[in-house]
Formats: sequence, C-alpha cells, structure tokens
Amino acid sequence: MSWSLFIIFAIIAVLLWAVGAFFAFRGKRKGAIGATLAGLIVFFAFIIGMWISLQRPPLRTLGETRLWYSFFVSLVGLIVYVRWRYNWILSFSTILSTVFICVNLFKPEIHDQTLMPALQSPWFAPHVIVYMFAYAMLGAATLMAVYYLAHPRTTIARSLDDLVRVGLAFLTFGMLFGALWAKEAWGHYWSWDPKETWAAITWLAYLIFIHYRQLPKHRPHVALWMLVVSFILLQVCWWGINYLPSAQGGASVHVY
Amino acid sequence: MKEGFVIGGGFIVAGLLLELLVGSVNWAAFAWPINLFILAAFLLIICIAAIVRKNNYPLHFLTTHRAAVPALTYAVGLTIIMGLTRQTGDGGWFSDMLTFWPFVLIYTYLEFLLGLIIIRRLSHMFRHKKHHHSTTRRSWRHDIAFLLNHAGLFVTLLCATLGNPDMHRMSLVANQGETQWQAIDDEMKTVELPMGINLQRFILEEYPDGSPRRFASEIQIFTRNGKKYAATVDVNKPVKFSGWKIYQYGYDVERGAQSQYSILEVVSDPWLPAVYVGIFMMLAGALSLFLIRSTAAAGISREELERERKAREAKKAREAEKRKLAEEFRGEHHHHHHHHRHGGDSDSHSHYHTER
Repeated sequence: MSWSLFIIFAIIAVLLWAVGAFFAFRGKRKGAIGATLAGLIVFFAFIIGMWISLQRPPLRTLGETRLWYSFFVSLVGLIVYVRWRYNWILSFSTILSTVFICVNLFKPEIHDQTLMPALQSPWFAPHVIVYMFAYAMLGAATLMAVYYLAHPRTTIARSLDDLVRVGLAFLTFGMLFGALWAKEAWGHYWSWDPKETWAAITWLAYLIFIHYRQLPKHRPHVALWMLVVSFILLQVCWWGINYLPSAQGGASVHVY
Repeated sequence: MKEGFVIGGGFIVAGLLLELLVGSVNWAAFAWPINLFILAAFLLIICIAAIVRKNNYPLHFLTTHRAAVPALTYAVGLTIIMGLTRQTGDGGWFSDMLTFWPFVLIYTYLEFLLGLIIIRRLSHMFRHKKHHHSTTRRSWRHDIAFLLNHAGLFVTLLCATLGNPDMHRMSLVANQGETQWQAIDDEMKTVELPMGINLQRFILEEYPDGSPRRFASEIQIFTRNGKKYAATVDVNKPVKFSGWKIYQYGYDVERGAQSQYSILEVVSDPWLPAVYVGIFMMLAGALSLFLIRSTAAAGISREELERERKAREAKKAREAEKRKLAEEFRGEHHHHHHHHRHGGDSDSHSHYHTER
C-alpha cells in the first residue's frame, strides 16, 4: 500500500458516502447506513494497508492525521445519523471528510517511513487517535451549530450538547494521555509547549460552551457562535501552530 | 454575569499593579516549604468560605455558572495571548506569561471557584441524604462525575503549580568512561548530585536512511557511599533511582554511534504523585461523561426529559398510524392520478422543527 493508491480508495469511499447521504436525504435509512458503512470499510482498508506497509501506525505526519480525521468524521456522522436520525448529517460529514481528503491529495506531505525514538511509545497511537476522534465529534457539533445558525428559529436539539460533551471527554483523554506520555519521554508532564498551550485553550473554550449552556437565561445563538470560534481554536491547535511565529524555530516539539 | 466579568477584570488590574510595583512572579521563592504553607492557607480559606457561605450572597454568586463563565473566559483569553506570543522566559509581560501576575491571579481565582463549588456540591450531597428520601435514583452518578471532574482539575492545577518550584530538571553530560557527579540546571548553574553517572556504552541504531531508530545509554550509577548500580536508559524508558528519574536526552549527533558522550536529563519531582492523583481523577471524570445523561444541559430537568420521551413516542405512534392510512388509501385509489405528499418526505423534514 502506498500514498499513490490513496486517490483510488478515496474516490470509492467518497462515492459510497455520497450515495449514503443521498439515501438519507430520501429517507431510505437502511441504504444510507449500508452505503456509509461500505465507504468506511474501504477507507479503513487503506489506513490498515498503510499501517502494514509503513510498519508503524500512520499517525506521525499531518497527512496521516488527516486520514484518521476523514475516517472519524464519517464514522461520527454515521453514529449521529443512526442515533438521532438527522437526515442532513451524512451530507455534512461527507463534505467535511472530502475536504480533508482533498487537502491530502492536493497538498501531500513527504510521508516518510521512519519513526523517531521519541514516538516509539505505547502512548503514541492512543494519544493521537483519541484526539482525532475528539476533533471529529467537535467537527460534527460545529456542522450542527452552523446549520442552526442558518435556521435561526429551530430549537436546538440536546444532541448538540451531547456531542460536545463527548468531544470534550475525548479532548480530555488526549490531553492527559499526552501529559502522562510526556512525563515518560521528556521528564515533565506539561511544559507549556505551544501545542500544549493551544490544547489547553481549545479545552477551556469548550468548557466555556458547556457551562454557558447551563445558564437558564443564556442566548442560544451566542452559544452556537462559541462552538464556531472554539472549532477555529481547535484548528489552530491541530495545524495552525505550524504557521504561528510563536512556535517557529524549534520552540515546539509538536511541529510536524 | 456582568459581576463575574467585573471581578475578573479586578484581578487583571490588581495583577498589572503588582507587575509594576513588585515585578514578575518569582516562582523560585515558592519552593519547599513555602508551597506547603500556601497549600494549607489556600485550603483553609476555602474551608472558611464554606463555613460562612450560608446567606452570603457574594460567596453564593461565586459558586454559580455566572461566575464560572467569565472566569474561564479571562483564563482562555490570557492563554490565547500566551499561545500567540513567543515565550522566552525573560520576565516580560507577554513573553513570560507564567510569571505575569494577571495570568497567575486569574488561574488562582479559577482554582478558588473550583474549591467553592466542590464544597457546595459536597454539602448538597450530604444534606440530601439526611433530609430527603426522594432523591432521584441516578443523581449520585451525576455527583460522582461532577466531583471527579472538578476536584480532579482542582488537585492537578494546585499540585502542578505549587509543585513546580520543587521540580528540578537538569542536564548531565556523561562522558565515556568518566563518572559525572555534576549536572547543569536551566539557569546554567552547576549542581552537585547525590549520585555519579558513568557512561559504559552509548547505543545508536539507525534506519536505512540514517535517521535514528533507537539511542540509549548503558550506565553505571554510583552513590556517595560507594554502591554501584547498572542500568540502561532509553528514550521513553527513564531509569528510576533514589527519587530521581534519568532520561535519555541526546548525544553527539556528528559522531553518531561513535558518540563519546550521552546527554541525560535528571529529574526530581516530589509533588508528582499528587499530580497523578489529580490526573487520574480527571480521566475517570472524563469517562463518567459517557455514563451520565446530561440533564443539566440547556436547563432541562429530569421531568422534562421524561415528558420529551413520551412526546417522541406518541409522535412515532401517530406517524406510524398516518403511514398505515396512507398505504390503505393508495391501495384503494391506485388507478387514479394522485399527487399527494409522500409520507417519507414529511417525516424527514419534520425533524427540523421538533424538539427532541
């Protein structure tokens, strides 16, 4: 398996997801679930293939994390569809997934084989996977928020809060796994490395949303905008720091 | 919530005044036993607040979301500034945020709020047990989740911050065949260690393209009373010795496998067990978020949850009825031209308008 085969797997998966999204829109539940699941299996087959051929988990480069993100966004979309029956969620998750697939196709990083000693740890895979899953859940929540912002008179379903709550739980796991790993690798669990700082920022931002939502007199559209802003902060944490002047020149061990 | 922003703003102003009057926070002054006194004093203040909070509106306010949201907002705002500026540790306002008084005061305020709400929740839990027989069956799960999350963060933040001045990280250059008793701290000062490290053999394994696959040091550790221990230090596998942890940090990259020295990091962190307790509480707290259904979200009570569930089921039953009738109708009139809205479409669009 190699990156040159990615476009084939991607096209098949995206077509299947698009079919699933179409079925969902037409109310054909079984077809929607079946097609989306098939797309997920195809996409995951590529990930596993890369894992085997690289002889390490494909989690090191930015491009590799985008793979997992596309996968998880579609998976979360499917879970939300199965659980809460929003017919539009599969279209949204397919589009979001495809965006990151396209980024991988048009801006491929040099994906090399080696895994430096610092990353040879049992914490590596859980830390990154859990974060990618959190990002996917929060991405789905942001999609819902954008939908609600565009349709202002709709009552906000509580599933939005559930998605954010679970997303925050996974963010917490990711942050703490990182801290526990850091103690084993670098000697300290938290050094305010730019990545860690932005992880804390993202975490606090979603905490603010959750607490604000619990105020009886809160304004729903303010809460929805909080989700949008928090997602932007999340993007900064994920890959924006690579471009921030504050993280240049070796100031961060996390710069890809 | 305005009051919350005013209080936070007050801490910012107070912090700026402190910066101008006494300069940046000097964390070294908080080393043992000062940090222990501060820990005791802080916990004492929270306990006193807990005792006097009955009928005290300001203290009650501090335990509400209206205080939490502004405090968190100030914290995230300052942390964003920190994330956007290069941190150089030079004592400057933004470039050394960890010693910036407003930053420290806002996080201290947040910690104080955490302490107060933990006390409030605990007192609710025990008051309930004594006087109310009709506690909802599953509220104890919510209490545990609440406590794990909030107390976990409380412990972690407090012990990590107060324990930091007692945390020593030093670099030690172990030369092949020599015993090194000295390390260099992050202020470039030389420190005598209670142990000496002798590099027996430096190991470097490479990938085909020359990048390192593994580097490690086989060392011997000597104590002052002549005892000797052998160990291997790998990246991600530090060696524990007498309250210290020895990490593999670097080596002579130019000489690679022939490196005559190994750069090790020697770390002592006495408050670490306390921080681990906090971290594990937070992990358990995060896990518990899956196991409770949030009724507090968007101010919905348990009774409303039940009402919603019943309304959903009644609606499903009605729609099933509607579909059945539509089928029968179609069956009877299939040979007529009929343009009517398909049952499926109205189902999918109605989701946008109902509360679920």
